[in-house]
Amino acid sequence: MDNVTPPTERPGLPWENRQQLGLVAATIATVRVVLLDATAGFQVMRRQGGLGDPLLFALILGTLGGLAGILWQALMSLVTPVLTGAASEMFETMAGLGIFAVLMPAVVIVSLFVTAGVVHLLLLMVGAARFGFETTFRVIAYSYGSTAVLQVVPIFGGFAAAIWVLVASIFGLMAAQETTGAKASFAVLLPLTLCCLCVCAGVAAAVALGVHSGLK
Amino acid sequence: MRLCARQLEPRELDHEKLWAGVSLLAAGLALAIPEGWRLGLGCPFKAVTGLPCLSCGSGRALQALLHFDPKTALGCNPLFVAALTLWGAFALYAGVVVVLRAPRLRFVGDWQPLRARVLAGVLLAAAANWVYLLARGI
Repeated sequence: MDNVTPPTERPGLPWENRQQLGLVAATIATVRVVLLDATAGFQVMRRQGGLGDPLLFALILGTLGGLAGILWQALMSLVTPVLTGAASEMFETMAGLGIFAVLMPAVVIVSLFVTAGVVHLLLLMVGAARFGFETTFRVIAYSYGSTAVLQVVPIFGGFAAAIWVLVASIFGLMAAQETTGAKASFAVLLPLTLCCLCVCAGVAAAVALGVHSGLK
Repeated sequence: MRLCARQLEPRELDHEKLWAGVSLLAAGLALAIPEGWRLGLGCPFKAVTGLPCLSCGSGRALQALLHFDPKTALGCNPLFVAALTLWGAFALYAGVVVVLRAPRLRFVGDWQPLRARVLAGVLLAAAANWVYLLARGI
């Protein structure tokens, strides 16, 4: 990782400066810049500085968004009983919702790391990983956290979040890994194609390998 | 490109510690999730086209693995089981080196000549897996 830009060269996303800006203001500003101007946002994002900051951001917003999404689905399943079997069992009981709420943070963490791991492996394979895994993880985490808030919008929020996270991730990788749109799109969209939007209970994302290493 | 064992450099990301932790959490989740949920909510691709997607059968494979039935798991989705096995092997290695504070294995050298072949291998494996799922009517 000899070509990594020192962290001080980039001012960082508002979330990375939340001590100065305040927690709420920094959160709102980060969500706004990632949703509305991802390229500008990820051009200032630090490429290093630890996994804790982006993980915390994604964990808070991802858990809240995920719970909101599941709540809307539960309400919808009551109104329109289109779900059957495991799905209805999952959503139609308070116990099911309770279990999901407890597991949600762990699902968010595992999903984030597995997604970032797969995307980074694919970037390595197409020669687009100019910077290390941490950079890819930061892009995925900030994209995921920022777009997760859209799930509070009923019915269309989940769809919007699913599409927007892809767009933000692609623009984010282009800016942070300094790669082309084609290569960033390949890395982000191929896992989606492989899984084709299957919502397999969290751990099914284990399609990914844990193999990573310091390949450059 | 070759594999070598070396100590972590200052401020270098400890991948082994990270992935050992993530693997433990994922394993805990797999066990904690109620049995019926592991099968997921159904595949939208299959619902629309009638054809399996590349990850169809993964939920059933996971379910079978958790019941110590690798043969059934392999039959459901071989690529998923292979990926999970690789992940498991890496997690085991990561756990051991973290506990023993042993040197870490890293690839060194130029991997560019291998890159295209690895990518082709991954795509070929995915395609072969899909053909298998189609043939088996998973």
